Amino acid sequence: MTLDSIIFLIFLAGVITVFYLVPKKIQWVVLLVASYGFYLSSGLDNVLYIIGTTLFSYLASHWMQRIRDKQQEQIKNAGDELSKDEKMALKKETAKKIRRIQFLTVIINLGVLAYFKYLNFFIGNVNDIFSVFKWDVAIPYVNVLAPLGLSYYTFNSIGYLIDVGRGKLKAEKNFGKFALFTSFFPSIVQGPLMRYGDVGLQLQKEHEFKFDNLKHGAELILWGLFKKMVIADRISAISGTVFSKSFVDYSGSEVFFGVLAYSFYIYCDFSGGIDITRGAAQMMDIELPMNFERPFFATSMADFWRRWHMSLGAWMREYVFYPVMLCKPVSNLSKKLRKKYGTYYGKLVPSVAAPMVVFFLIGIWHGLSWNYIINGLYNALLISGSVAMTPVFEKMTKALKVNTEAFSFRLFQMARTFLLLCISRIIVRAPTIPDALKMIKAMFTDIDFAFISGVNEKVFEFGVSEKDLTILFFSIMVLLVVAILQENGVKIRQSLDKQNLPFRWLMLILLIAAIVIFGTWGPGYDATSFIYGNF
Amino acid sequence: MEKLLEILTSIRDDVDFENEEKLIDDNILDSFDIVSIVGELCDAYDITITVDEMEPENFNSAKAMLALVERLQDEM
Repeated sequence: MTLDSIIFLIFLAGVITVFYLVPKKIQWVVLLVASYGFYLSSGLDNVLYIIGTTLFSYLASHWMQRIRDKQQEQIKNAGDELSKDEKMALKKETAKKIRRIQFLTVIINLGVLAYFKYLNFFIGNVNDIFSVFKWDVAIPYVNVLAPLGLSYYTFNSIGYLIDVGRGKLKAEKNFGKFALFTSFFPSIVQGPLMRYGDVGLQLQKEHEFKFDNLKHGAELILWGLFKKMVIADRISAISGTVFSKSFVDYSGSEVFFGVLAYSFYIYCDFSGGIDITRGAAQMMDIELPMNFERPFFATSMADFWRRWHMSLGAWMREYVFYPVMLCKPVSNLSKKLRKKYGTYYGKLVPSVAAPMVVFFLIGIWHGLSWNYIINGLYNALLISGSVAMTPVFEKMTKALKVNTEAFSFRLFQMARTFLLLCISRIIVRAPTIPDALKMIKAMFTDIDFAFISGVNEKVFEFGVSEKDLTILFFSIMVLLVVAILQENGVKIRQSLDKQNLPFRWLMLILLIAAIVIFGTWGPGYDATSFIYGNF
Repeated sequence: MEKLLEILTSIRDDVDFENEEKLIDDNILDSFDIVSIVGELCDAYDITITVDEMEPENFNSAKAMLALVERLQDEM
């Protein structure tokens, strides 16, 4: 059951109806049953894995909680018998014990994830090494298929375990309520990643019916369907053609056309899916975290990562970036450098080390292939490079008397970031790394004016008709107008509320008509799974 | 407070640390700034700020940071 299928919309309507009809105390039970029902449609085996991870994380969190409770009781009972130093020592010892459990549980959770996602990558690379030495051995590949949403519920569980370990959360007593957090059906397919202290608690509270939530949620779902079905599913043919085979004879302009299409495809597919997810949750008075904030307006790579897949960025910041930056070896090194060479060098080493770790992890989170690993390192180099080069850039802009506040400068920054992103997209999407390098080189050296002007009509050789291109052009224009309005602080749905009824209905009917008429439906159309559902 | 403001402005001289109340929530400071601030605070006040303290409410304003420093000094 994919999020853009009719059956999902019917399922959602049924769940929402029951959700508001039952006594508020058991609304969470409705969500739990619905989530497992939804998940069951992806296969019974998958259910066993999610129950396994949930049960394991639930028990581990209670283990840590028990240790912390015991320590607190000990301190309370001792009263003044224990000195301040003794109390501190006890706290430190407890923290150490908890950290060990935390480490073990995170490793086990990651181990399951690695087994499903990375085993065949390792086997392939070991076999490659064997063949280099001309050894006639090959380890057979293992037929493993990662359960639906595995990396999302694993990361959510790890976040929860770390928060309990740090004492930021109390372990959830009710297994059912915790199971709802790991399986909440709209977000199980492709996120967003959630914090237990936020969404987990929202899921179990009582929810009042509010018409505005229903209306705004439905509008967001329609917007998501528009992005997914009218733009993403149509534009995917272009990037599919350009990147389908090893690089042969595409001109640089054709490669750019392909990567431009791929950028819109991946954005509309992923953010469209997230809109459906957030809309579905909002209809039940549940606010899921934002995952996108108009990434095409980013003025630097760091800014891009603040706007793209924000929930993964927040997760990485909280559970990887800060722990790496503040761990003893890194902070001691930083301290030494700061004392010896000043703030700039003190900041430099950790600023290089932490993005390397974070983007390596983000890379392999998407999948273990050299394309993702190299793309991760490419992003890390750009971000740490920009931190390292900040003083140089500042001097340059000063010397050249560049007005960094001007709109034209912002436009330049946006274009530069977009170009850097195009390179990143090629690295990920090209069949092999050598193909990617050839494509990047072509993009900058082989400009095909006949293709750009459209005189050779080669544009129709990318799996899209003239009608498709016209629909795409107007749809992307709508997308851009909405994005520009939002970038300038306009809240689209709230502004729509203030308009007169006929205008509101006209907008709604136009959106529905666009999805029904121009959406990619019909025979041969596989209600394509969302690309981020695979990660 | 003066000493703290001096430290903060040495890291980001374009931010009004005296009046700003949502340094994190409004994305005025990024994660690199926070780490630099943590490093400087640890040096200046001889405290250890661990990852457990990395909460937005501890860094949203200069006042909040001062409260964090005082609490950690008290716990030492």
